[in-house]
Amino acid sequence: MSVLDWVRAYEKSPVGEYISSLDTFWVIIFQIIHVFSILTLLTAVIVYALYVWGAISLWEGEREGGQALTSTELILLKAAQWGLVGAVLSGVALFLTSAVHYATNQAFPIKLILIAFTAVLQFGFFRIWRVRASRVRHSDVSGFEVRHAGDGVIGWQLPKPRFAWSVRLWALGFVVLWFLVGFAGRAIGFV
Amino acid sequence: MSLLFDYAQQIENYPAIVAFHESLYLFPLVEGTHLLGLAFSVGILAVIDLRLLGVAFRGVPKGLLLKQLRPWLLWGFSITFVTGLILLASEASTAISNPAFLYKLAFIALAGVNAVVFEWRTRQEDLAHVKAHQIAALPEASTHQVARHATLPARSARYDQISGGVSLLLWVLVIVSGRLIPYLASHA
Repeated sequence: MSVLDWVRAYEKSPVGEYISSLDTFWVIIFQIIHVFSILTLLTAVIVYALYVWGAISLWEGEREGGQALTSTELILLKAAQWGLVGAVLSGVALFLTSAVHYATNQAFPIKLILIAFTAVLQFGFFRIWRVRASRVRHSDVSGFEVRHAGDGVIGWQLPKPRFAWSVRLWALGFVVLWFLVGFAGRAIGFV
Repeated sequence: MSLLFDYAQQIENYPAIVAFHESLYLFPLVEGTHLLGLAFSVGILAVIDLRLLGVAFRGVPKGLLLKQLRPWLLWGFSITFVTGLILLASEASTAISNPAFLYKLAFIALAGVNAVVFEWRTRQEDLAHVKAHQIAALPEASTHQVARHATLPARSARYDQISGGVSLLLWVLVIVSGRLIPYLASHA
């Protein structure tokens, strides 16, 4: 029995028939949750990349000996995790409302493979990084320096953490991969 | 409305716009870029809004966060705006009669007003902070003058929370109304 046969059998089952007959209202709700989850995930990945590349400084305390991730890193990791969970759950709900339609779509398996590949890579990276966090180099962080400019605007100078090139490249790679997942998802509506 | 509709149809019928709309790859690419550009625009704005609300990144000074994220935010909004205009041109006549699209435009306009007010107020706040420092440094400064300026941070935090909350709510409504466009098109 092929995967498509399983999907067809599901759609003909009482559960499948019930979910397929759900009002458009629910499909819209699932879609909105899907979009917000993807945006949460992408934003977390983008902000993390900007942070490790030194484009923005989100310093929230020194990385202590026993602390593998700073609170900034933890917030971004949690946002990415919740975004992924929301996207997968709403994606499954959307799939169940029109299973055969999605299963026969050429872009759908590409999206699934990309999601699995990127998610395993990203969360594997963070797991390894937790262990190796002490190897991430930080510049000396002594506190905020408030600067008064001549025109009255107050400026802040904040030391930026310096990350190894491997961490920066991984972060950039995740942005590219998640955007590819996003494009593959959009392609579902067009192929 | 009829004149606007005729104009919209004229735009829609430009050969370049027709070719774009019928393109197998270009239309999905621009549509995908528009949606994913939201992560650079609305997503980064949400980070700022959450900071203003005091939910995340509380250790990072507001001014610093704004200064750092503003260029990325503007790039994100530029991408979203340009791709949005291209998409609008290809479906102009149906879009202008779609209630979801009109709501989306109204929410964007309100969010824009909120952003302009916030930026103006932040600028005034910066100037007031400098003035407060200058007054406090004066040997003849009265207790009343110093006390009046000392209340600035508390007022500022309250305004920030309102601005951040309104911004977050309006952009959520923009995205929701955007997602409703294809569903309300047939009812227009």
